[in-house]
Amino acid sequence: MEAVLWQVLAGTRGGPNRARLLRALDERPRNANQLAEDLDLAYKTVRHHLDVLEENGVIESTDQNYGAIYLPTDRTRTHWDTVEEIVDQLE
Amino acid sequence: MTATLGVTTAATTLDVATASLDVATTLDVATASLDVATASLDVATAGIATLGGATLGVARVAAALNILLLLVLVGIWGRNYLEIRSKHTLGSAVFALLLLAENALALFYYLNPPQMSTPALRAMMYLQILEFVGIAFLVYVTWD
Repeated sequence: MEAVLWQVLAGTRGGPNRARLLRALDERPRNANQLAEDLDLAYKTVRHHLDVLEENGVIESTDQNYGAIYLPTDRTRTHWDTVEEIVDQLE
Repeated sequence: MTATLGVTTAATTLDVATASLDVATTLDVATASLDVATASLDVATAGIATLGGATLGVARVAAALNILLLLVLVGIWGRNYLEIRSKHTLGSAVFALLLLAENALALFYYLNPPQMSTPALRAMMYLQILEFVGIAFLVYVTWD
């Protein structure tokens, strides 16, 4: 899981933005629209990042409907020190 | 008696003439074969020369593509390192930078080729192509 977190949050082009999304979701679970607004990112970008994070088991949604709320998975919570190592250095 | 001798001599002369003709024909055939052989050798030599040129060309293109793709990786990983200063992001950036140096050196040698046998050149080309496939896949997963 740690390798996945490094790859998805720090080893890829969209990594830093995904780390920001994850930090925001840790503060308070949100849906894609709220994330786009709060982080000043395009909705499409947020949608893509959420899909990548969900595919890799980093976050999960409450349901599959439109406007689903996302939050970090238990697996991510157990390795939160790794996430912090990455996220703490971001603006 | 004299008549018999005359006939015999004539017959012998005819034999000799026929034999000479045979030899001449054989020689002609042999010369023709040699011509064909020489021509074949020419074709083969030209073929090997072309093959050598193609091998070098493919190796050059592969090395050049590797350099471009590695610049993309250095860009992505370098930028990530600026945002997230950790040994993980640094490791990726350094790895891509050294592989970039390797390919730049390879391209330099392909553009200024030293005396090298065709099998050796072909082996180098295959290494460069395999490296290209690996790097291309790495770019594909890193672009995400």
